[in-house]
Order: sequence, then structure tokens, then C-alpha cells
Amino acid sequence: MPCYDRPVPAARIVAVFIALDACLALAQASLRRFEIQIAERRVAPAQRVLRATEGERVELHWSADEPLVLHLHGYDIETRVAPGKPAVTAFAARLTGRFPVAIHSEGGSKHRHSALLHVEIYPR
Amino acid sequence: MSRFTLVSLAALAPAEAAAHAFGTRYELPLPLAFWLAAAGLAVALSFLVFALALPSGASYRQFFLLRIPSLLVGALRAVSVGVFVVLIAAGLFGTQDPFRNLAPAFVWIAWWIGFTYLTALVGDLWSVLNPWAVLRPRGLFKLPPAVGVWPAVALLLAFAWIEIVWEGNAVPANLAWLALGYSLLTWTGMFVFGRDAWLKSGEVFTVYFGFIARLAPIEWRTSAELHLRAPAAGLLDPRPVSSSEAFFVIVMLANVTFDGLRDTPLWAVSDAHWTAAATAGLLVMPCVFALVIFGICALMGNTSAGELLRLFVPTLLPIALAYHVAHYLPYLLVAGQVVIPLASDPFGRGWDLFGTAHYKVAVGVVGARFAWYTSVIVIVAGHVLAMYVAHRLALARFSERRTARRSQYPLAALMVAYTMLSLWILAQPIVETVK
Repeated sequence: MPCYDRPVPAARIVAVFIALDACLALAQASLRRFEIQIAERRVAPAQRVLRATEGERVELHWSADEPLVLHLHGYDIETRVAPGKPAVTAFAARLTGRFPVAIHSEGGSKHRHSALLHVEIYPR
Repeated sequence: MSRFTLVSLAALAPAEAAAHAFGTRYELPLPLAFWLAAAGLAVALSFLVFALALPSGASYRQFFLLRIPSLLVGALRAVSVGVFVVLIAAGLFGTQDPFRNLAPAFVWIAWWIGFTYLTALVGDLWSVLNPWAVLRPRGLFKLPPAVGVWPAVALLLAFAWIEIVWEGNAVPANLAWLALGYSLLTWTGMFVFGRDAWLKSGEVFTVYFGFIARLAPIEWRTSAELHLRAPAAGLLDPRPVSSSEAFFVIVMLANVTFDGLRDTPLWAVSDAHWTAAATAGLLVMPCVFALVIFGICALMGNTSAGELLRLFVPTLLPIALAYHVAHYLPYLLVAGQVVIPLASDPFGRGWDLFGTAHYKVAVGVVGARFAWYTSVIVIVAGHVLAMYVAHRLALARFSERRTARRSQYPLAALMVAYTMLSLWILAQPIVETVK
């Protein structure tokens, strides 16, 4: 039941402002964009680890020399990419940690594969 | 364990899932600021332990907590045997997809990591839950005392090899056959040498959890009588352990460090040589540790280095466990959640026994900051506990306070170095060793 006769506590006003601030920050979350070319199931050494900060919007723009299914672990996003058909994996970086992107080959070969690259999301 | 790397069960088709290894980790390396804070705290608090006038003698206070009714003990045992049977059945008759079978997740995550932490918190629960201990054969021969815990040492090395090196360790059927083989071995040992003699000497998990339980704030006496005590007070035993027990502890310490070390750039081994190199590392590491600790003990005083090693080596356990917690707690909290859906469908047949089969792992339960802060807190706490216990033991062992204090300088240096090594490993960039 609302209590109209009580003044609004200062803490609540501050909390509202903090929440507002967070919303604004998310609305204008900076974009972290990466252009990644996959050749022979590898990426350039400098792109083996991609770094971003919590709260940012991350976009991985893929191009590949063969059809591949890419799986970003943790966030659990699958992206299909093929020659001439670039694709984008886009997500808001809300989980912190180090998340592998693995190639899931079509036809489900049984051999183990290492991560194509890792996305590291650092806390703010 | 990061060698096999698994994730996101539900999202993957079975064939895809099998192609992954078991248990992916999401931790970020410890940042420099946390590294420095932890290192600085460890060194500063070491001086504090030296400066404190600790009580002499190695006795500690304890309070009667409760006695577990024998009916409850029996019930716990029955549940434990039931889980054991279900795991073996799941391994033999369930799906062989490590993601959809209960056995690998339960054995490697819930039991081997989770139960170790539970033991460090509540004491030697294994003495009640051990499914092999339900049989009570009297034995035909007396086990010679010289055997010590050497059978357990050999088994611990074999177990570590399976855990860290062997590629087939997440295959459910392999785990079931190993459990059956180990049961045969254990029951044969118990039948020949008597139940209690073999449990103490050859049942590797009784010995292992027994040492971990020394860190717990709860002491388990016979007939399930529980006493409250200070954490790690169980290490305040002024009687040196036997040579085989000392080596068992050294293997425990070395395995933990080796498990972390092989994820660092220092361990850059090509895939082709991975198995051979890891096997060699697993065997060489305990010998290196033994030599270093023996050398330190030789510097400690006029007493025989061997005797000092047997007295002080268990005091290194808090540092090893602290590193282990720093390394595995976030993993346990995230990857360990797979036990929730798998408990409802242990064989991977689409059952939903407890209504949890569709539970999805929440990756966000712990973030990078949680991992970093817990790392720093547990590592510093483990270091201080180790320093404190060793100091108290020295006061009990040496008649003169000054001799006791002097004996602790080399050991303190070793402990600081060991803590720094743990922190260094956590701060390393993570390298992919295998695929």
C-alpha cells in the first residue's frame, strides 16, 4: 500500500537517478565492432583474443572462405557464415568472462576442435 | 580439467556435443592490481604471524556439536550407495554423450571438486558416505606397517593421470568400468587385509578426503560425533606423519600446481607430444616438490630434515586448497549446474524424474569480479592459516622459542614462494593447450 503522507527518502531519489543513469548509459552503449576474416578455419593472430567491456554492444562481422557454423559459448549464439555471405554476431556484453567462439562444422564431425578465438568481456 | 571443455548442453545436437570436450571455463586472468594486492597482503600478514605471541603447544580447543543419529548415518550410506549404483548404470547403459549422461558431470565436477570443498567445510563426510566401506570383511592377513599409504600414493597418481592426461576420461562407459575395477581392487584389499586396514592404506579417497578434512572447522570422531574447532586446527598434530603420508601430501600439492601450470604459456607443448609430456610432468612434479621441501627442511634447524618434512608438510595444504578454490570455484558454480538437469535424466533417455530436465545453466551467476575477489581472499586466508599452523607446530616441536622462530624463516619463505606461484598461475593469460 502506498504511503502518500511520507516524504520520499533521499536514498530512493538517488537510486532513481542511478537507475536512470544506467539506462542512459545502456542506451548510448558504445559499440565495439570487429571485422574478422576466417581463412582455412583460422583468424589473424591479433584477433585470437577480442576484448570488450561489460555494457558495451559487441558486433562480430564475419567473412569466411567456407560455410561454417560459429558458436559463441556462454552467450550461446550460433551464426552461419559462407563465402560471399558475411554474417554478424551481435550481442550486449552483460556477462563478464572469457568466452570461446568455436566452429561447429556442418555434418557434425566427431573430431575435437579448438576455439577459433576468444571474446573477453571485462567488468566495468 | 580444463583439458576437456564442455558447455551449453541444451543448445547442441548430440553429435556436436560429443565433438566438444567436457567443461569450459569462463574465467578471466587475475589483473595486475589484484595480483599485487594479494601478494602484498600475503607478505605483510606473514610478518604479522611472526610478530604475534602465539600460544605454545599444539593443542586446540573444541566444542561438542552434535552426534549424528545412527539411523541418519545408515540413511546417508544407503543414499550414497544408491547414487553410486545409478552412476555405474548410467555409464554402462546410458547415452555415451558426455553432455547428456550424469556420470561424467557428477564424478568430475560435483564429486571430485564439489565434494572436496564440502569436506573442507564440514569435515570427513566421506567416512560416512564411502560406498566401498559398506562391506565389513575381517581380513585374512595383517597388512605390514611398512606398506603405509604407498598403495594410495600409487592410486592417487593413477587417478590424477586419468583426470589430467587421459583423453577418454569423460566417456561415461570408461568411468563406469573404472569404478567397477576400482571396486574390485578395493574390496579385494579389504577382504585380504581387513576393512579398516585397507581403507587407511589403499583406499585413495579415504586418505585424500582425510587430509582435506584436517582443514575443516568440524572434527568427525568415531560413531559420527561432531566437534567444532578452528579452521585448519586439524593440522595441529605434533606427531609427524609417516614417509608415505608425507609423499601423499606432496603428490596432492604437486597435482594442484601442475593442473594450473599446464594452462600457462610456460607449458607450451605441441599437441603431438602432449600426452607424453603431461605424463612426465605429473610424475616429475612431485619429485621436484619433495626435493625443494626437503631442502627447505634441511635449513630449518639441527633436527633431521626428514623428520621436519614429515612434521611440516601437511601445513602446506591450506595454500594448495586455497589455490584450488581460486582456480575452480567459479567453474564449479557454473559448470556444476549441469548436474541439475542431468539428475532428472541420468541416462540421457529424455526422462524428467525431478522436473529439472530442462534447467538451463545460468552462466551469469558469477562474474569476473566475483572470481577475482574470491581468489584474493581465499589465497591470502590459506597462506595465513598455513603460516599460523606451522608456527604453532614449531613452538610445540622446539623447546626454545627462539629456535622455533628461527626454524620458521625458511618455511615462511617457501610458503610465500608457493603462494606467489599460485597467484602467478592465476594471473597468466590463458593458453589453449589442446583441442
